[in-house]
Amino acid sequence: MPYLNRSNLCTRSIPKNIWIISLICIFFGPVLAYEQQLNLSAYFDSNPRENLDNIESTVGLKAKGLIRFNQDTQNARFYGSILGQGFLEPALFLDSKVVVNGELGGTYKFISGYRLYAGLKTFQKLYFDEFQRSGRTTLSASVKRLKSYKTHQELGMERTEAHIDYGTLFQYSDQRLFLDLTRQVTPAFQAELSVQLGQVDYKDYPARMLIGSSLIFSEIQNQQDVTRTLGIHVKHLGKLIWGTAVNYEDINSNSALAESKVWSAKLYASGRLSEQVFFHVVLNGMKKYYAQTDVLEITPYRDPEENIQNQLHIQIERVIQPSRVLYIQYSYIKNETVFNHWFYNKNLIETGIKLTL
Amino acid sequence: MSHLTKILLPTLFALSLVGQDLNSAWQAYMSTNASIAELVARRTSYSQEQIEIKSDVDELQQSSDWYNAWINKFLLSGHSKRQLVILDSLRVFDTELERLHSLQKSEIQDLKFAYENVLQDYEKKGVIPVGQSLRNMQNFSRGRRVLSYSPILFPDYTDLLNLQLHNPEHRKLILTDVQSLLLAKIIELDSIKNVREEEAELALRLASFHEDLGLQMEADPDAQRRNASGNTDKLLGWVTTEPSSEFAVNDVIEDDGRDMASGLSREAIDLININAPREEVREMSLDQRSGKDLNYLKKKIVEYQMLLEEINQELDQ
Repeated sequence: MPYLNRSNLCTRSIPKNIWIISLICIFFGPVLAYEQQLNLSAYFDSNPRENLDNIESTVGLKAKGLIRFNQDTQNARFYGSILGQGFLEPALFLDSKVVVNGELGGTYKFISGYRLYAGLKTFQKLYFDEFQRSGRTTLSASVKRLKSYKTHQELGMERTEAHIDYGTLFQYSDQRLFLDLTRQVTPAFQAELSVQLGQVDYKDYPARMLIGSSLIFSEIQNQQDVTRTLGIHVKHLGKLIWGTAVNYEDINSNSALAESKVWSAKLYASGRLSEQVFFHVVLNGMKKYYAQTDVLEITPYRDPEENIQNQLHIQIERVIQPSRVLYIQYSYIKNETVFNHWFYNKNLIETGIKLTL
Repeated sequence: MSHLTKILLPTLFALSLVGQDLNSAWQAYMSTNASIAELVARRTSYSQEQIEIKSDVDELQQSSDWYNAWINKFLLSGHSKRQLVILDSLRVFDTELERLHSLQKSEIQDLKFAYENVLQDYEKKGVIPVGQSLRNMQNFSRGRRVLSYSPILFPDYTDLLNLQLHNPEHRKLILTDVQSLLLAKIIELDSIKNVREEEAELALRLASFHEDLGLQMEADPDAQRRNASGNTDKLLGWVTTEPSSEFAVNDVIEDDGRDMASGLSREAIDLININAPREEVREMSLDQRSGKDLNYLKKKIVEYQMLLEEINQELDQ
């Protein structure tokens, strides 16, 4: 994580959403169809602080626990999960962290051929260092049309409230309207076209304007971004699963430095090397064209770990038993830091075991 | 299933129900077929003898010496005479086989013609819907075959088992053919099931990997967002046994009567299954029609095994 000014000890309690979802999963989980997973692994991170210079590497231990349930009735389906993940880095102990991800949702067939979906999802991250934390909670709802075997349409909206608390609290909300069109071209080929219209409102974060070469902070307007996104995703199923997704996002903002156009692409493939050995490859690439390239800006409202730009992940899994899987993973990450145009590199190697309990 | 079986099965099915034309065409075809089989068997035995003689001749020639040369010569001349007889016979067989094959070719055309007439009669009577004839089934353009996938054929053979025929020999013939057909189908289903299970396992492993990545990189939207089926994008369409596919099937059952809107053309429905009730075909999801739905494959295996068991019991009696 990037080192920013860390001053105040954060004393806020764990968000209420996490408690609600945890209680539902713990109390209702046993009476519903549920599954439990536990992952244990060790990793090497070449640049845990995502620094440009003064790079320190570290080794760490990671443990992940998951409880998930699904309940189906004739016309409805409910699901929920609570996932906790701890990262312990003995050499850089203060960089250790805990991640919690909770989810509750359901679908309901309210008219023949139409399905309604609603969900609540929350993700929280807490660092050991002065309990710095970040998180986001998303509410979403959509309607899906399933009148045809071959084509599906989904129209919905989602609203996310996010906060980054690294001494200073940054908050923003992100609301999006989306339309997804899916076509099953053949049983093995699926194509998806998605369109999104979004708006991001930042709280207590003034818009910045450029007057000549001077950067002026607005006294009356907070930053507000309007986004338009178009995405195409094609995937092939079968003995080799592969797919590619291309997205284009146009970001218009009242803050001159946030104006940009983003092209991103994702390639992935998974297959078998032998009866019990699987491989997975994911390649993410992103090119961001800022409207203003001469001015360096710091963007403290973003957790850099959540920023996906250029990443390669390769994992090889060996199934010992259906409930016991060994794996090794290599990742290369080249992302923007909290400073525009400044990129850090890191290599991650991870090996561990996945257990289904 | 061979093309011959494809043609013969409905022919047998129709045999008891239709006029004399189809019956005589069928008998003529079978008679020629029997003659061909007999000739081929005789030809094979002559060929085998020819090989044995050749081997004997080689052995005699190699073992020939001053003290046994005259005996070997005598034996060799005997072999030569036999070889000539065999060669003459083979020539006769080949000519006869050529004639029978050409006869069979015309007989199979007669058989197809008679069968199409029967179907036309049925169409007129409304027993079989228009467009389900053999000719229409065969006249799929090449381009369409490339663009559209071929549905996998797993019809319901229960009707054949319940068929009441006057001639028990005909019923026995049909049951024997259905027996071998079911065996082939069970093997086919089992292989497809194995492949699908492997694919489903791969899809689950991939979904788990992407979920882990999505957790590491929370900003990855498609690893996190669920769709209206309650699946994340990674699971959509990859885990075909998810209850979501059941929803899809039910949706279309309820919307029955609007089959054109379901994206499946009437012609495609007809092509899928000549025997199954049309309603059943319409209710099949894309995964079922393409053999991707594991539950459907398992259900079909059990169905065919039970049918086979019944047929075995009846034939053993």
